[in-house]
Amino acid sequence: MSKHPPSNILDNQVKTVAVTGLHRGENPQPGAAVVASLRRRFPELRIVGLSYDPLESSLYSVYGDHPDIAYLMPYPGAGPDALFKRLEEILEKEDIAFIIPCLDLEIPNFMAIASKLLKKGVHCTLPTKDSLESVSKSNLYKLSQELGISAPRTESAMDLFTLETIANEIGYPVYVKGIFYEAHIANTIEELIDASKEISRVWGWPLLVQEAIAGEEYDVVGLADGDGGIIKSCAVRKFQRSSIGKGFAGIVVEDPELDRIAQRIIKKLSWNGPFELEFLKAPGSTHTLLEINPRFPAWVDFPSQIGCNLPGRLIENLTGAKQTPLGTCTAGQMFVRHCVDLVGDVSELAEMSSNGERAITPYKTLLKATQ
Amino acid sequence: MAARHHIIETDKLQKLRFYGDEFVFNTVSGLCYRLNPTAGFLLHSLVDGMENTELVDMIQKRYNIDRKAAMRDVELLLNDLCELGVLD
Repeated sequence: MSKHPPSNILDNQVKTVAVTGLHRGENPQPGAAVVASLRRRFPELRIVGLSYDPLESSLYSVYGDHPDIAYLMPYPGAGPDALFKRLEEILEKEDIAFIIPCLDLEIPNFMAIASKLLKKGVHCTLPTKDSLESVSKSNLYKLSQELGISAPRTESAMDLFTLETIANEIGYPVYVKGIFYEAHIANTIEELIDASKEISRVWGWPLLVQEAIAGEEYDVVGLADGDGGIIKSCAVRKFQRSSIGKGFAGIVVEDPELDRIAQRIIKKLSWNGPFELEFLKAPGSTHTLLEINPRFPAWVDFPSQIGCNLPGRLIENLTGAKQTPLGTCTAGQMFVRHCVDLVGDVSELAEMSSNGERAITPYKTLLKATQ
Repeated sequence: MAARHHIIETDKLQKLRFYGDEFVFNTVSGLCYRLNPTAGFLLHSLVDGMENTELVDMIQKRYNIDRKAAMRDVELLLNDLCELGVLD
């Protein structure tokens, strides 16, 4: 079976890029923003969407944030073998050279099959096993202590009794967190029990108990070179948050102290590739490290739109394509997330559900019409 | 006696970016503030390099109040600006 013709735009190298995490809903995933950024740098790049659900919103988009084709994938819980098997099927049709995983939960699976994919000519942008381990929610407190950076006390518990004991030691209110996703605040032991039941039902044990810290949220997105350096980064204060705590507006800050902390973290980890650092800071106090995410965040297309295209640079680096200078984001530049209603047809849903793949063409059609 | 409790460092004031008289953005903290006319006037004056004693003089003249009240108002306003993080 002949493969779909790939794009031929990366300085005469034939490349196709695959991206995951394509749902821009209440809890927006980063993939669609990564796609949009890649198209800003490589308008004719062929982008394959690796989708976990036929209803992932960017599959219905008419803007630059949809893939050219989407393939239905097994859920991360199915494990690395199922992921590899499905990718092998897709590779019979697509000349994928790079995969940019955009969801925390799938990264261990991609790490497990990275060498097998490489043998097939597919490169994944992943941190090392050690650095990923160091930034896991359960190890982050230890890392911050080693670096002398403030972080909320966080402990892991395998059962409810331990969870209660730790919460009492820390003192209420505390956050109860799943090992990968979901966090609930608990002001009392009753709320702690309710939260633990709700989170463990979906994500299982262990759960984490974390000291509750108040303050403004500051996030840093960046691209690291793997040798302890940051190629470029952009720092924002999230100033509008949804009911589930997701930042729906952000403003660029120029804070040398925040930059220094980011540099220390990345240097310590010798981080490779995309990252997002999340902090809280109250006036007059230091930045408190909340999370390190081993991927681009959902707001990564904001810096791309103001001249700092980090996904674009990632692909430039991987392919050896000509580097576009990365601009410095200036304090006061801001984004506001805007939700829109995308029009679809049930036939599109049926196609994806039945065949496990669907071509999506509005952006390319628009591009050709304007050329 | 001068209002000298607050010594505002120059670099803290350099972080502030004004949009008109009553809207200020702190470029380091990313926090924005809508100021009332008095706070706006005082903050503009600080950025222009005015000393606290001069501020008291100006507030006293501008609002036609006695010196003690002017000193108190300047001090309270600077307290508020610090607490709110404007001068963080």
